[in-house]
Amino acid sequence: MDALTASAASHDGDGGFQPLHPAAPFIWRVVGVPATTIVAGVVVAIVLAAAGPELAAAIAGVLALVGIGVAAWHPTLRYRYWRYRVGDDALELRHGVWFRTSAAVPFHRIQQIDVEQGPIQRRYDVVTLRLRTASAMSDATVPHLAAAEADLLRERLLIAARPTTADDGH
Amino acid sequence: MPEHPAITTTSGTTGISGISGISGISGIASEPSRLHPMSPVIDLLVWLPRMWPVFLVAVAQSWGIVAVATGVVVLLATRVVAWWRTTYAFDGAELTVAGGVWNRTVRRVPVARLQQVEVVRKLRHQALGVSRLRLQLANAGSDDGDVLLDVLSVADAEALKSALEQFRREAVAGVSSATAIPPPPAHELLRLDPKLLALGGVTGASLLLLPAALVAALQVLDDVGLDDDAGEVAQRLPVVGFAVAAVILSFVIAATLAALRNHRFRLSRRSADLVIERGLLEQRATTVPIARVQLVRLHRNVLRRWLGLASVDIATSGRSTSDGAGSADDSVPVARWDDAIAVSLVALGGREVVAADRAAASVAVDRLVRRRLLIAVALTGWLPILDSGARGVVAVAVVALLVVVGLVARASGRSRRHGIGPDVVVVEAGALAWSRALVPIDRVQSWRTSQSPFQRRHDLHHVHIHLSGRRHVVVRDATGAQAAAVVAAVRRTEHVEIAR
Repeated sequence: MDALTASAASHDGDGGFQPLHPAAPFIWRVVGVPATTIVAGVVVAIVLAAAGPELAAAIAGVLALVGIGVAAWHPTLRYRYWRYRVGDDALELRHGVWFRTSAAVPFHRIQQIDVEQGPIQRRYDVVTLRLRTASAMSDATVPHLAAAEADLLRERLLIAARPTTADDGH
Repeated sequence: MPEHPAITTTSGTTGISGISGISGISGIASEPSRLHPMSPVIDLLVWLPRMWPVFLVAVAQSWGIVAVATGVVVLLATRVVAWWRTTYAFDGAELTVAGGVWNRTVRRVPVARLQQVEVVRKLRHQALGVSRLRLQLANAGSDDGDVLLDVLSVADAEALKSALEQFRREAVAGVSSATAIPPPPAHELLRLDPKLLALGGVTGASLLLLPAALVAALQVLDDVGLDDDAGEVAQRLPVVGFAVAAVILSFVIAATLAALRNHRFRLSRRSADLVIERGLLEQRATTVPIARVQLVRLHRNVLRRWLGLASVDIATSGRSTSDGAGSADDSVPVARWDDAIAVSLVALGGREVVAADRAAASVAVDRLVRRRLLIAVALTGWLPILDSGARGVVAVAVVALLVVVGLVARASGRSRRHGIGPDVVVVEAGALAWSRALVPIDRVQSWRTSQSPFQRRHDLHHVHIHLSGRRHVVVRDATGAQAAAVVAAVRRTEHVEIAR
């Protein structure tokens, strides 16, 4: 049993699917601040222009509360629903709060594996693992994995991705 | 050192050289070659029309003529330098293209990775007796995927195309040039006569041109005076005639464009390749390796269905450009239904195709009808409120529209079917514009199922099947069992690929 399998076993309970790093919700919140601010600014500007200062203040206040609530709550839910698993023949991902997605990338289709780390991720020693196939449509990014776990996962995927045929036809 | 002898071309003189021992190609040249000397002139013909605003401003000035002349000379000089700096060479394993005036770029293209090879002769190429060679690679939709040798002599382009195709076949088959067997002559699969091409144009693109022509004609009617005295029939006749003429003209233009674009269309099979030749003003000869085919689609609208016609797209994994250049989209613009089926089977290279025998569930059809009606109501439901004068008429029109939308949506829902075979997944959809996608399982790159909150209530899923590039096929609103069956089928991609 390798380290990744052992790790999977320790998180098991959902058919071998594992969660992301516990810091993921916080990182999503921090990364989402600029977007939330911009959207809030645009909404306030529209309300100001359409309803006048007094009503605008009330509406903006309500919207701000709702926005802050969603911005704080959504990453937690997102983290709860984000799972990944190294299957028999593919990396499998499940994610989405409102729109649930279940994706799979066969090992033998993996062309390239990128490991990316932003400044906030460095603080928590987590990385984003990005798989590339010949399809530009493939849903193959695992965000916010512990760096050590990502290294193991990358190694395992690279071994599994070794070509078995001379010409893959694309 | 390359295993093959160096292969380069001597543009405008003797065609390709350097492939000793390969049928029909002889001579050896050791140095990379330049494009045809007419290359700067062709570049100038492309650049000058784009600069007309500058020229328009310049010629209005007293110094204009001198400035324009200087600009043209400078432009020509830069293109000459660019031509001088651009070279290409083919060593039997890789095509090497070097270029760039300030930033030098050397690009090596492994011949085994070629998706399509295409010789194009636009009007300017025909006028100057040259050709363009385009090589398409698998590049997942990136912009720099195609390799373009824009100006080669006709002989060089044909010879290089032949050499690339031959070495690609050898590379894929794993045989050496010494033992290579010359490819058999092309076997014609389909030839389209001008009458069928014109019919294809009228029943295809013209369906989009027609509404535009009608809107334009109605605008003219409105401007000329529908509000005037309704008794002036004589005055209206020319306007009505104009409207009819606009519609007829749109049909004529569509038919003519289709006939010109696909003039002398011929689809043939040569060895393991499909060869598509067509065009009058812009002549194209495209080679599509059957082993590279990622997806085959058949299309037909209501009119074509009634006439027993269809079109076929044969897609490889290269980039699909907006103008269709470099892609085999719209490979067969129009064909009789039986011919279209036959072409699709050839393009699938002997894979077993099954019928789309799994229909959409009734709950999925109902969901589609509800969605379409909801959108239609949101867009038009408020119209009767606006105009109090004609509220009744508008309300009747809106209700009629909603009925049509509902009927079309139901027909669309019932047209959604899919089938799962040992080699191919078949997905059909569309009422007014119907299509059948034939997905070779061994070409599947990845897959994804998605489910919205509304779909979750009925256990419905979209299944997205991803192929090379940006191509993908979606099985919409499949039930849980149907989605699981499709996923189980595409999951066999590696096993099917190895078995083949």
